[in-house]
Amino acid sequence: MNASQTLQQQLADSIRGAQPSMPEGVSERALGVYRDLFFNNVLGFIDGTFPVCEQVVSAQQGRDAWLELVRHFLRDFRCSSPLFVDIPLHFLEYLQQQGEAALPAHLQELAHYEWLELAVDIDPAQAPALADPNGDLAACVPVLAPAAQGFLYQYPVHTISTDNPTPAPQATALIVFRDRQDQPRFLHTNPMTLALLAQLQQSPQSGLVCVKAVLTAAGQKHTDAALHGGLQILQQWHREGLIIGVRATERL
Amino acid sequence: MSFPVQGAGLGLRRGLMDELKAALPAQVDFMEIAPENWMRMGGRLAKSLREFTERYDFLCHGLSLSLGSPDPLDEDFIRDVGAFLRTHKIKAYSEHLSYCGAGGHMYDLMPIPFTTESVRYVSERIQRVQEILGQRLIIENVSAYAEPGKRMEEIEFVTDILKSADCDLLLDVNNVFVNCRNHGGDPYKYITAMPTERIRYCHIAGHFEEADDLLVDTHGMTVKDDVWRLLEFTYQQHGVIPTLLERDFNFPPLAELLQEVDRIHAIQDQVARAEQVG
Repeated sequence: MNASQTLQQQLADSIRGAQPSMPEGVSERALGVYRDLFFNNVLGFIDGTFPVCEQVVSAQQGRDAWLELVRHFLRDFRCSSPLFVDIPLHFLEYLQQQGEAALPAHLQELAHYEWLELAVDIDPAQAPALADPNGDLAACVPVLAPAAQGFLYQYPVHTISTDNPTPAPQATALIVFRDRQDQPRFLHTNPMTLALLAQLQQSPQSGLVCVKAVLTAAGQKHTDAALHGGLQILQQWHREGLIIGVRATERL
Repeated sequence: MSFPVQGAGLGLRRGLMDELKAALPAQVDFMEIAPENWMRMGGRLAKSLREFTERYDFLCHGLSLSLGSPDPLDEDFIRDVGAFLRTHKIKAYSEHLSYCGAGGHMYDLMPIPFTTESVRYVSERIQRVQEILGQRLIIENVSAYAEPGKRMEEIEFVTDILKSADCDLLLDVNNVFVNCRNHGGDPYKYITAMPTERIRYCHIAGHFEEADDLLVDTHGMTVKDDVWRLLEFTYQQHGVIPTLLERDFNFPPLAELLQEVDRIHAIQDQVARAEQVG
């Protein structure tokens, strides 16, 4: 680094709050302006993405505790993405890196759940061209809505609020996707159906073949009732928009 | 001299999109976006943007190239910007003469020390960007609240880089005004010193007066009269230049914002007429 670059590093570190001394040619007032501008910019993206998390932390520990968390993020985390929309993702990575020292487990999971809404909203995935939106889900390959993903949380993250800030642990399966109106949607489900979703994503085959594979993996017999139950889930997902149709050309 | 766009423009922001879509204004000749807020993105926002880029001429005004940063250039990112420019048929690409991180991105602009070593370093990086993109880069003079490690005047720093990198200039008239107030200097002299043949377009925006000698370039309020006068002087000095109004938050009703776009047109018409008479 040349002398100018060393000075630039010092200014950046001072704005982050990682270095107490003032770089040459920078007054305390000027540094204050920069610190405020940088902090408020990052805070805006974080507040906008994690509103429930912010409310719960602020209600329990005061708004200053939340601001302190964001300040430490700005100071300690090295953001690699040039995209502003990735600021919340980097914050999430920072929280995960810090673990319980930053936030308790249930709020860590809440932060992930809140970030998902943003991630699904802007996911570059597009709905594939479909020949048949109302095809036979059992005989044909079901096609999922864009950005569909399943998650298993240890806490009921979708119920957390200032009225219910610390729920008891309870395995909670959620599926998220982007619907036909391009809105993020969440489905509350159970771990068994998460396995069916994973099956559809990882080895796309006819609905019936996928249901059988999930039953086999779970050590269950292929009874009529079990098969019917699995196919009913597919039909329900179709009504809810998670399945947008079938690949009509292939019959497997 | 050739310009990438003509007339008066408005920076497209998420907070303005619904109102703009409801009635696309005719007095807006072109728009501008930050690629960092729209690239690698799908869904409703990507579709909305497409509606605008198909209707208006567009410029891209980057935020994260970090031309002056001690960190290495992110060449994958630059290539992605290039793809984005082609996808949306963007007319030209500008970036701040600034840096926005050192040891990671910090998402706002910091001043590069005005030194000869900075001139050399930044010029080489601009040339590399131009090489990757296969097009000329337009650099913008930025507003600053400090001049760390200053060894030359800002005017000299900007013009030296334009020459040694062989790139173009986005002249931000408000930033000239803000910096001359914050650090001392004559904004008219600054404007005069800029090389006419390299100016591709202008920016104009509102600033916040925190103290007599501390103006903050917020883009959150109406353009000040002093800055309008400086824009008029810019046209008198360099000829009429396409000019874009930047407003980032604290949005007034769209009609009020468009009055400022109209005012750009009015000043452009007035100076053009005076030139014809003269």
